[in-house]
Amino acid sequence: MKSSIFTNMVLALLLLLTPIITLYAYSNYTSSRVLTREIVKAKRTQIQTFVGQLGQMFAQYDSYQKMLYESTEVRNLAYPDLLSDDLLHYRTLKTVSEEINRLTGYGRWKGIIAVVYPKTGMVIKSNSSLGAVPAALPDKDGFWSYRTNPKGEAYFIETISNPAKNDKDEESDLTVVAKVDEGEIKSDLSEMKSNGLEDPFLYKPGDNPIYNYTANQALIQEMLPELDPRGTEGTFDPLLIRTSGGTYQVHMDMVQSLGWYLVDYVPIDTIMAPIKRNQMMFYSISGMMLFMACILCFLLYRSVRIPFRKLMQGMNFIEKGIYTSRMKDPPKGEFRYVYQKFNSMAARIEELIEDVLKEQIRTKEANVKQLQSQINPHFLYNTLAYIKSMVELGEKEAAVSMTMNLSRYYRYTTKLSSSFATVQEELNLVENYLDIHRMLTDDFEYEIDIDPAMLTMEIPRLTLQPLVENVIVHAFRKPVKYGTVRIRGVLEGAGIARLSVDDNGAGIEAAQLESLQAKIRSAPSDRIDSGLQNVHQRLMLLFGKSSGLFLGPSEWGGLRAELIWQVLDDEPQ
Amino acid sequence: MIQLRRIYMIGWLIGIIALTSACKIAVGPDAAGGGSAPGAQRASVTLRMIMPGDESARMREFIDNELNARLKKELNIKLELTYIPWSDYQSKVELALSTGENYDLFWYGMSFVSDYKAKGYLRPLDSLLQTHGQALTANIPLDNFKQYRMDGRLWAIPSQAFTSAGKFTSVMVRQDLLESVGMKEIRTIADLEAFYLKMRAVDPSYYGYLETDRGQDVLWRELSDQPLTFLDENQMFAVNEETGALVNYLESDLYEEVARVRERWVGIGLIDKRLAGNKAANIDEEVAGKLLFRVGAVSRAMENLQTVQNADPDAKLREYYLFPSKPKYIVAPSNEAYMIPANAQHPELAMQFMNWILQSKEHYNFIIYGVEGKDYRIEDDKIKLLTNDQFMYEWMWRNKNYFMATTNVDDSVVQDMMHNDDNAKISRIFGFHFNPEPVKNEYAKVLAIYNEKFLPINLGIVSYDKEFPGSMEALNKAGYDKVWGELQRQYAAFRAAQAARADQEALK
Repeated sequence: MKSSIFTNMVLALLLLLTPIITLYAYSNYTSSRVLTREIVKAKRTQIQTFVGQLGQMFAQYDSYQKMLYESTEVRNLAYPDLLSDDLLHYRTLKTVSEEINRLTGYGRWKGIIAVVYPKTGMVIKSNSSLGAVPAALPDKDGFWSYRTNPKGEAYFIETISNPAKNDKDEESDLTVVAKVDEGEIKSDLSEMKSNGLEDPFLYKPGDNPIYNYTANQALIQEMLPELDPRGTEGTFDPLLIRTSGGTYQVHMDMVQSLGWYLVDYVPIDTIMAPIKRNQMMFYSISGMMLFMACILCFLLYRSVRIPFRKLMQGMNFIEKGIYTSRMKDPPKGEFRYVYQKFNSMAARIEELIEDVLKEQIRTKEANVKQLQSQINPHFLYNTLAYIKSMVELGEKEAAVSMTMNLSRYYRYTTKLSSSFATVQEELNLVENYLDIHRMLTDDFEYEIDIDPAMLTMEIPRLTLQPLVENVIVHAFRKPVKYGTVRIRGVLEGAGIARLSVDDNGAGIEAAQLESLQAKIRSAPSDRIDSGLQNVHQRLMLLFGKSSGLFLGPSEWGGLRAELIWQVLDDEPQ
Repeated sequence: MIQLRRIYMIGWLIGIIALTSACKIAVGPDAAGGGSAPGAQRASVTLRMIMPGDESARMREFIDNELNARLKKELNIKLELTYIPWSDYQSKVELALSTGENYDLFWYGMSFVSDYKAKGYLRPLDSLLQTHGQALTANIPLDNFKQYRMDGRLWAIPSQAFTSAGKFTSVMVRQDLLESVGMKEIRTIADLEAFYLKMRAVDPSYYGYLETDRGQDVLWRELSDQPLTFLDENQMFAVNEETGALVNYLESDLYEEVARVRERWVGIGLIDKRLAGNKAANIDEEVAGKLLFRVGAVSRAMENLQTVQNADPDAKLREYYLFPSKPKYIVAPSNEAYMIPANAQHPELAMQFMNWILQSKEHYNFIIYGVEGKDYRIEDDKIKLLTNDQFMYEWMWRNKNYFMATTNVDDSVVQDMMHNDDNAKISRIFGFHFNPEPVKNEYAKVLAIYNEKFLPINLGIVSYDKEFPGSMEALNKAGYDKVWGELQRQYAAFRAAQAARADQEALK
């Protein structure tokens, strides 16, 4: 029972489930990893793009500044003597003014460009609002620096002067100023926010951050101590910062021209939400699959394993000879059919085995009866007396014949090797028997007329002789006339063989015939009273219910006893 | 059997769940979400309109709540405004029109109407105006519609209907400073010069005059005995309103006289030659409250008041015409134009909406100033603003029948504006548009030469005597005659057509 169907199926189920769950786990793991990486990468790219945009804006103002710085017109305006002619001055001023307006008029950035001539007090600028150019410029030239004016408005400014200004006290001829207001950066940050960033701000350690207009400033303040970009050497891996409001993944990148960092943070729960969802789904589906597999196993156990085991038990009983064992409580489904078939098979086996046993018993009984009748003392005394008389009379022939008949008769009847004999063998026995009796009494004759096809048919041994004996014992007891025994064998079309024994004796009355007939038919199972009963039972057991011994009146006045049996198909005709 | 079937089914279920979930994971989280259900059917129709500038926070709230609630009730429309910043306005509007985006209504300046009409962006409005525009025709003078009538059809609604005569021929003065030096009003060029010199004596930081490239016709009112009107923005040609004849202004004596006045102004410092050409610096002076006067524009004294008061809270402004008894001429009654795109989904609703604005004073105030009591209050027949946020731009729909001044504007300024058109006449060139196409090469050259050579003369920073002959020669070389000839031809044709129409009307 080690590898039953059930265990095989459970194994198969396990084999099926294991790779599925393994593959599934692997795919889940891979997709989660890829997703995490992609999300982080996407965020990085986003930050880099916006940093690039900001950088580009400042770079653009850089280049505008350089262009103006190198422009001859801009320089000439610093030296009024060069432009003594009013018309030339007007034209130069107009050119520079238009140039500055053109530079800042294009593009979406609203920075301010101005040329300041400290010595003449002239200012040419792109924006006409009063505070556009701060009253006090940085003490020395330099790239973008972050400053605040007296009103508290912050801005980035860079200046380049001719001659170069390196100290507060030095006064240049001209200074080209590029300035971007903090407000401009703020609206840029707000735009970034609306374009996909979470809550961007610009930060430089030591300065106040520049927020977007709708920034969560309290949260950012809480994060600031953790933000230390120094020492990261350009590689800005996302930081994990825990605040009172949750954990955040913080991305940052430096705007190179400013030295400030663009920072954006994402609540880790939000960023990891798709991955979490994936994992939850994976666990729940795996669990469900295992649960389903258990249910499947249980169902298999209940509807295959248990009925199968019962069936095996039934088989064992049959094997041990307990043919009365039957399957009870048939389950639903295919097993109900198997149970039913098993039950009917067991019933059939039981029936067959009983038949065989009964037939064996009958045969033995027949032999015993025969032996009993054979050692009938009268029969033996009469024959022996006959032989003595013949020897005394010198009828040697008759004595020898009688002896031969007697010896054949006894040889056949005492032979117990087989329970079957051919019709011919039976006829030989009957001839011996009749010859013996004819020699003793000489008051009857006999005729045998058998279809030659029947001679080789097999019938139970000693079935014909009791009929003939019946005639000699009962019909010719009180001989009124010369008796005749006719034995005839006929094969009928429907495969029915008839072997009849007729006599011309007194016969018996119809009522008596009927009771005799009934007596033969209703044989009790275990005891056989007469030889005729025995003959009928054996024929019936062997050839089926329609076969047997039938009694009826003979056309010659006496009784007809007829053996009828169904010729089996496989028997050679 | 049933049990077995159940087993199969469970097996299938496992398989299907495994498959679908695997697919889901493979596709990733983007596959989820999406597919927003279409909103419930709105009963009202959405009217989509383009507006210039930036939408104020209060305006957004106002549209979403109060305005749309009313519009739904009264017109069964839902107004949806798309604001386009001023800097991108022209390009984005043209993009929207050329790609056929389904806007129902938009605003732009007068000069774009003929261009858009030629490009086929616009829908003619005659029948719509007739069916749905009773309040528009009732509150906008019939003449105002004429400027948007081309090929016999109307292409835009002149939304502003206010006084407009003599626009850019007046001078806007710091009235408070004028009074501080003992003067009351400006009537002559001498008044202006006196004002400057007196003020200069008090405080040399004050600066005289702003628009050096404009305002020659301010002086004409005194220097010319004939009433002239400029034909073009570039100030090369004019028309004599009296005779109807074209005037070659640059070669006239009047031009010389104007140039000499400007030369004098440069001489006394009224025009600062050091600032000439530095436009931002000019505006700086005004913003800083240091400007004494500049060219007026009928309502500029009202519109610029807030800016000046930021620098000097006591500042007052007023516009004056030199020789005020001389008549004023109306060249363009309304610069504002509301147009309905050819692709509009709901043109009749767009017309109904415009009509609704001018239907009553209450509608007018509601859409321009917001909710009474919340956004504004009426005090002594004036609007007291309670919020600084802009609603519908006042200048777009300013209407003489409904106009109410805001509380900070002086009564005298309001009176000036209201009575500006009192002795006005329709200009001869009303409805005339010069088409430079036949002489476009010459015209481009002429403009370049004019800007290079004549602007300094206009400004007075070079001597007329010294520079004019050479400049005029250069202009002639560039093909000035041809342009002048073509202009005369087109103007003659325009006048002939006008005369024919007048005859027909007379016959009727």
